[in-house]
Amino acid sequence: MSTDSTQHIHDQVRAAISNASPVSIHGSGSHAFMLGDFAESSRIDMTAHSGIIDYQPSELTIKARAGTALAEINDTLAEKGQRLATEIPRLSGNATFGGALATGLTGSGRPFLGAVRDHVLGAGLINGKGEIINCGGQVMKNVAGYDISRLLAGSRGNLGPILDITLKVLPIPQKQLTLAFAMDETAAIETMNKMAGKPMPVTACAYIGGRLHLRLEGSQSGVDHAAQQLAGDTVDNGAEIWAGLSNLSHDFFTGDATLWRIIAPATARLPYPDKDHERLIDWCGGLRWIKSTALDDNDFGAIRRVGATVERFRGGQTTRPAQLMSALQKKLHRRVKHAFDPKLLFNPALSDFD
Amino acid sequence: MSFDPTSGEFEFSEWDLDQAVTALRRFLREEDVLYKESQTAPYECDGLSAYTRRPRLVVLPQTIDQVQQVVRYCKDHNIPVIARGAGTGLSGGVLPVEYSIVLSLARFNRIHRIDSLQRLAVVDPGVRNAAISEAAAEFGLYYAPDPSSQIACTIGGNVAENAGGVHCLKYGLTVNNILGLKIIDSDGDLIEIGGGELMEAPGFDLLALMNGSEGLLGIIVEITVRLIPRPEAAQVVLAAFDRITDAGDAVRDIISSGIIPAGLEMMDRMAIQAAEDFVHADYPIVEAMLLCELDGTRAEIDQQMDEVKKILQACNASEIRLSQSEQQRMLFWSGRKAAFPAVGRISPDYYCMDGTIPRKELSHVLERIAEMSQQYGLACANVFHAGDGNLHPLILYDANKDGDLEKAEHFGSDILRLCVDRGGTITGEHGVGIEKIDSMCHQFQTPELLQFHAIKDGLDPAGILNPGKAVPSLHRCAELGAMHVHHGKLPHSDLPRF
Repeated sequence: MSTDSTQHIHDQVRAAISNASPVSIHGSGSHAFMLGDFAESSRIDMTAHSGIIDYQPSELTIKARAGTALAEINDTLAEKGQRLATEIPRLSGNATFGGALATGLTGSGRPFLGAVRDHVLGAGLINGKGEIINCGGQVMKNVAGYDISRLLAGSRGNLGPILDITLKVLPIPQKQLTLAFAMDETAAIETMNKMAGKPMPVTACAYIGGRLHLRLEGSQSGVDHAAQQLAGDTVDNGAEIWAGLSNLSHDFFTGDATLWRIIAPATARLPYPDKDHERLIDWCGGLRWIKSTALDDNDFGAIRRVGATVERFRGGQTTRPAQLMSALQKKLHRRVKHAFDPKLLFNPALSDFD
Repeated sequence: MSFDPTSGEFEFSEWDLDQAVTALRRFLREEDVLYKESQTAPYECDGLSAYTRRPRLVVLPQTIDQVQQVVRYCKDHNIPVIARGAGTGLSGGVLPVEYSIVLSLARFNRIHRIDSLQRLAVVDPGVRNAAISEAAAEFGLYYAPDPSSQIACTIGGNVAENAGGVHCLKYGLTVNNILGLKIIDSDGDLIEIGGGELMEAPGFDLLALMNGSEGLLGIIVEITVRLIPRPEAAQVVLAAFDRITDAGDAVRDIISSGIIPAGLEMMDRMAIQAAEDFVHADYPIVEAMLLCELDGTRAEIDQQMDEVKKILQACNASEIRLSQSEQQRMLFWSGRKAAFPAVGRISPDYYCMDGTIPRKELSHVLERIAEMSQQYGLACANVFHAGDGNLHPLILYDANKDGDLEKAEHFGSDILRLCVDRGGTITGEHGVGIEKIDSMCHQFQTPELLQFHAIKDGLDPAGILNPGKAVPSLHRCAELGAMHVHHGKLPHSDLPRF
């Protein structure tokens, strides 16, 4: 089955090469809203290429085919008391392992637990010459050769279909506790970052509906001790809130309003547009969501000028990564793209680096 | 064309020294262009001193603009350029190649700023690793990756090698602790990579690509590093074992119990003895010893230390000692941290390997190394990062003895081959450089090597940035492959092969 699916993908890539015809690479479609339309007449469907290849709880690693549903991976890990080393959004759909790496999104744990790329140990892909490339491996430390497996994070299929990924996993912490503190936004951002600088088991900080939310995770004693010192209000549905932020299923994200995603210096005071909008702040201030029916791209000039990037994330014509790059950054992307896909066959609609 | 990506071969030719000195002194100070033998001697090798080559020319630019001009000059004249930090690397990564210019970043030694609230520092590449933590200490913060050379090695070199260290088990490698870079590419352009203050950058993860690229893809001129809060407390437990396999089992059981120690190190009898003779840390002289450090809040440490002690007892530890003070914690570590120089005292020379294996293979691989040591007739001390399976076998030899170095090299490459065959890698943290370039042929197949060369060709079409390191040419691997097939024609055919 699996070798068949590898063969099938490989055949499709070879056909694309010999016909010199572009091909688009698709997972479950869970991230389609942010990618825009990139479908070509010839498509590679990765979802049939699924299944866990190797899971070794004592080695803290899991290797799975790219089309494996994240839900399946999470369930398998949970059975052994483990979880992925950071939060990877599965969104509303049946998001896949490969899609998670290719889109590179990370949930609220980003400032503390790292991004997906921080936990990638190895990956296989088919490049634009039709060759299968296996990089990295299943060990924790590996500096042999260029780090191709991490390079794939955020690649959006541009470097080729990802066949399999090995990720580091971690034990589920003994205890998780969410505390909340009522305060205004400016104070919240400062407080979050001060708390993040203290030796406490903090794994997420967000500002939601006028309250700073802080997640503690670790040993029972460590979490209890920190909670005692911090003295916030205990939030009963903490786990649900953090999952909601990660998967964009929290109330804030519902509805049809355009969603803007701002990546800012965590402690920056941003010159927000004065038109009607709602905000939610994650990543200790490093990620700021804005939801509005009144704003358009021109309203964010002042925010861009303080060094933040503004992305139209959902609704209308979404922003492509290349639009956020300098000319020289595009040059590097163009060169890396050519190194993997010299005939520019993979996801051409997502590779506007010129 | 000086670089052929279809074979990975480089070719450079002779250039006129006087002409180059004159041209470079148009934008560099006179004292920043070195070419006399007495001046260039310190640049003939790095920490792997078995390989040396005197560079024809060394430049020490002071500004980013000067680095750009040097790179453009080298590009225009097809001259290889080798960026270099403190030269503490262990894989010959900055060994000069024929007709090359060495570009030292020693003058880039300023910490630009520390943002304690955002927990990051913006530093020059020539800043020492330990200097960052020293500067951040007043805010209760530090930079986590701690290669053992941290008092001397520079952060730029750490990024180029994706350096590790004892505390990487819990806090990640260099790649996990770097937020952004400014690099000079092979065109001489200054480009920002990674988010820096922003936690995410659009597009491919070029920041990961640059980490560990060993100076082949760009020259790093500024670095934004992540700082983390210094833990409230740390405690070490020292455990002695009569059997090395018991120590290996204890490592596996600690990690799979859900505890991530800040450091988990192992030493074998020879390493323990050498360290004890050198620093008198009062180590037990046994077959194997583990040092396990836990950090965090006092409450966390107490709880986890109980669990660790139980595991150690269950794995037949013959003695368990807990550090009772900061002074004693440092004493426990002193022997481990001095293990390399300690081994240096008992042997004229040693050759340090860096293979990494899945933890479950520890016992098997250590047994095989002991057998090989017998067969080669060379002693081998083991001191390593057990928690992440990163071995540092130290092969003892005498360079003055005919054939000893070659024997040590063969022994070393057999160890690396063993690591790859057991699902591991030839290098966990020291890099490939020139030293392990042949072992790369065993780890990677032709498609991967071609992909590496394609990346090099894309980012450095002229192939001027540290050519010939890190990735072997296909020709080189083909020759080695042939060597392994035709056993009768092996060089050193008097040596046992297995």
